[in-house]
Amino acid sequence: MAHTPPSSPDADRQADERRLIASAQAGDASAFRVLVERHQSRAYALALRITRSAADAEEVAQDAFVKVWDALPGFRGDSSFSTWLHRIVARRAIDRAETLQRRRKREAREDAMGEPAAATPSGDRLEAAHLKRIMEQQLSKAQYLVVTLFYFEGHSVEQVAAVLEMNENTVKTHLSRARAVLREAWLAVGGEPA
Amino acid sequence: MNCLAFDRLLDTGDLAALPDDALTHAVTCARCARALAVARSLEAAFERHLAAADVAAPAGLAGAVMARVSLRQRASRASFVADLTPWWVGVAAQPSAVGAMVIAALLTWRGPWLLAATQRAFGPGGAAFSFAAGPLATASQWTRTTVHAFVPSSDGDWTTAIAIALCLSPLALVAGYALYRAAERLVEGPVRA
Repeated sequence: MAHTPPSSPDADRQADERRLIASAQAGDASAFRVLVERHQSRAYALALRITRSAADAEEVAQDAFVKVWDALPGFRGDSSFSTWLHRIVARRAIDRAETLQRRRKREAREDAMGEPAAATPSGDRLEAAHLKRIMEQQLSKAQYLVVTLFYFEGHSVEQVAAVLEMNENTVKTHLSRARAVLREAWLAVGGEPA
Repeated sequence: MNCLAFDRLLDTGDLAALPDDALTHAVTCARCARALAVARSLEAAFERHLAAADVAAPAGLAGAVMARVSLRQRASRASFVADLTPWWVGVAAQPSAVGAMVIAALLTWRGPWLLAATQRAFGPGGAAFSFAAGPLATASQWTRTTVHAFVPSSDGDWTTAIAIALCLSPLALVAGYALYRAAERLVEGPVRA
């Protein structure tokens, strides 16, 4: 009698995902819906971290999933589905973020003329505001993306390289320089341990 | 371990897994101890404020995606069918073509009567429609001659039958093609877009 080794929940999940992808590739929209439901939160979170706008992140995530549906017949599984999806989300979010950045700069210039200054945040909110500002102002675009994917999306260097289509050494270099820049900036805003 | 190597470790390494010699160096070097503390503080802040923020997708995101996918599927099917459909089926399905055939059928069936009725309805101005009398009579004669050429034994009035045929011809073309495609699918199996 053939003995089937017990499968881990992770392996089961991966096999299930492969089945769903194959069904979606054959045109099964309900299988694709399951894939969307499984991945939507992470795709949205990634888009939100890059665009920093809820409405734009939602639109980016939607566009990315529609793009995935269109490109699904050509998906060969060289990288994992989530890596592939994140690559599409990241590209779209980067494009959107650049447009938003130009708009924010313009609005900031307009606000600076006559608008009263916003109230200064305190405590935890101040720390969070410092972190965001440091990341936005001190890191290059590539460093920001690498840090976002590595720290906040929990990707490995290899996965970050796959998502951003970069060499792994390039990712390591960006990460290393980003850490150095962030430490210096963190110290400058008084982010020292108590 | 020197300060330069320690800095490189902070830049590239995992803070939770620093080698023993690095930790020993940090104990003896105030500068590197401070750098390590700052690095740890920064990573802790990341975890507190950003990594820990579990972002849920907005309600309705999957539904909106699927609505857009459904639209694309329909558009893709429509263009696929349009690509395969012969031009004459497209023409037969046009409302203007159907209307033209209905008018032709009415004229064939009761051409002279319709003309007389139109002239009566317009009163004195109805005379303007007299120009149509000649072509209508010619068409009627041509129809009778053509029918007689194909069915020599027929002496009856075929205008009603021809009018019905004209009227139904667009429907016959479209339905005939659909029937042909259905039969083809039965034989060859479904065609995937």
